Amino acid sequence: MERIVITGMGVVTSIGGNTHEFWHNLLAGTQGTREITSFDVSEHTVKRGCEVNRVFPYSEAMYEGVGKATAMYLSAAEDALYQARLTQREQARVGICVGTTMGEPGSVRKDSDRQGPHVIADLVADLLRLSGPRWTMTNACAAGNFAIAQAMDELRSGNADCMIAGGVDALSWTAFTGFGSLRAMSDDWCRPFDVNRKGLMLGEGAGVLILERERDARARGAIPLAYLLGYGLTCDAYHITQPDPAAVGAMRAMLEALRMAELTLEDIGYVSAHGTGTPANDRTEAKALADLFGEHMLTSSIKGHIGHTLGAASAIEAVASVNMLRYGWLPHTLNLEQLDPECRVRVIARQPLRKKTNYILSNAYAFGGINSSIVLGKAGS
Amino acid sequence: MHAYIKGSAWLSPSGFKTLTNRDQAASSPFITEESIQNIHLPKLPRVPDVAKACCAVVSQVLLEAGLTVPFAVRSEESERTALVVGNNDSSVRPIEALQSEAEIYGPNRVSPAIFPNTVYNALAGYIAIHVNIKGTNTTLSGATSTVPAALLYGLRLLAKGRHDRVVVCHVHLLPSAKKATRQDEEEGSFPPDEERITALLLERPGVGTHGKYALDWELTKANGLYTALSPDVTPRMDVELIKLIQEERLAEQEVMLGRFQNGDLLKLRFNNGDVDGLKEAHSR
Repeated sequence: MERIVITGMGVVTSIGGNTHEFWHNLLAGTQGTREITSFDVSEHTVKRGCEVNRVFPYSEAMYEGVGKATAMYLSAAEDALYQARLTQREQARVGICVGTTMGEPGSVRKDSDRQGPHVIADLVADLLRLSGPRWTMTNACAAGNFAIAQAMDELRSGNADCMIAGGVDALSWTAFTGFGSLRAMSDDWCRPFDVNRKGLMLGEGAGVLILERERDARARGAIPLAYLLGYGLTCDAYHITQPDPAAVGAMRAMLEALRMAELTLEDIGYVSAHGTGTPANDRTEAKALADLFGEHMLTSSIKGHIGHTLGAASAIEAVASVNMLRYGWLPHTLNLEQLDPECRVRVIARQPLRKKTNYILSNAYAFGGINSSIVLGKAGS
Repeated sequence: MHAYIKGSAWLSPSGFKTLTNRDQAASSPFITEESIQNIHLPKLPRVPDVAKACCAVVSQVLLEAGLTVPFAVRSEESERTALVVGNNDSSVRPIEALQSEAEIYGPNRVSPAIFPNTVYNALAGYIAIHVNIKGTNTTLSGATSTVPAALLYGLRLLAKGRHDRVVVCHVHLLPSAKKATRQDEEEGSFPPDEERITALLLERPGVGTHGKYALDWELTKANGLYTALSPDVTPRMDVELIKLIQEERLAEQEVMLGRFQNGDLLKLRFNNGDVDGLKEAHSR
């Protein structure tokens, strides 16, 4: 099977508008939490989130009239294309996969011709003049992993030479009010895996990877940053918002991803956790990791830094994971002071951990009982 | 790259569309509680009507294939069946409901039952729970190309060999009931298209019994001039395919084309279950 390489990356988050700034602030323990300004929260109990203050465009004109979600995805995609050194001519043979929960929030209007979640992929493809396949995956908080998986399939099937794959979500009044109605949000900080956690913190952002077949990338002189080796997608069929506490579906997703990657459990050195900071998610994921790998498995969540960015989360975590493979640092879980005793795994806390690993598994879960896992490998592994 | 079509169903505002009633006009373009009142469904508490309708449609195609619904717990059938839902608009009305509740009761007193339905893949989640599908569960949105996109995604899942069966469900909802009502008043008629939920059960040859209908697929890349030169596409591939099956018109080979937003074409060939005949046609 043809190996897929990552040759470019881009992110927009509350702690950094590009990959370098994001990675630096991730290891420095910077938090993106602040009072929401995108919409009126004066009547909401929770008033904080991880908001992106500004998107830095390459060309102001290109961003005119586009919504925030599209702008964030476009900015991340432009950074990623630049890093991948793809020329305008080569971009014509590129496809796009966008994973999103809410789409472009402002576009859900009765009088809009361009409504629906697909507008992000359409606009970005049009603006970047992409003629490859376009996909919009709407698998909620796991949508980024679904987009990455779909891009992998497009490349392996030969339907595209290169894919822009990632996830995006902008903070929206709907999601903010909705998660509030579920009493799932923390009013101060997000503390994944902490015994005193209060819930998730909503965030916004985008994460984008440039994926290519290894042979094509090397032929044009691109430098692989990492390998995308496999994915697993399963469903709990248990509850519309809660994970199955037995964690069978989560384990199946990880095993499927490992099988596709032709790796064993022992090969994985670290798991990038979904780690939302809700008791149900943290405990289920910890159980899945402990039951599958054993209690020694290293993991952490970056949602204490950037909040839960919904459809963007797993794509941003993929970008972070690639840097972990490249630089040999594993970020710590911010705000974790006392590990929930029901989470029987080694959660990195207080400071980043220096550890080189060849393979990382990254998880994302979503409403609808969705489980997704991807496996990333160090370039040259 | 072949599959059997083992089941098909088409739910309209007036109930399931069959060969005998499908040309009758519905009194409303919207799928409501009345649309599923004659369909036996176990009680689904706190599940929205549209989700109940989706559960009914998918149950129907599985039963048509002779399968037991729901799938047994931890069974191979459950884990090796996938669900693909094509869905562009299901979040609009729940978002309106959320906004409406917040206006009345305040943003801190909104019912927690509403928010999950604003998420596009909630319908796929309800279906999975109802029939116990634990394989890949994907929701995708592609505007006018949602139907071919969902079919292609499902067919590829089968081709990869991880799944034995894929349910491809298409949910076409009108964006807003309010808007359509105003439009009715102004124009004296309902919008030209009515809501529909369709489902097709695709199965990998060799898994079960020989299928009555088979299909083969290929993807044709756009040549850059597709707007001017490409052949006509089938606008509602899901409905047209179900009509062919209802009429048992697949004795001869039929071909349908679906177009993606980048101009690529999905070519589907159907016949009466003769996979070898499709292979021969494909090689030609």
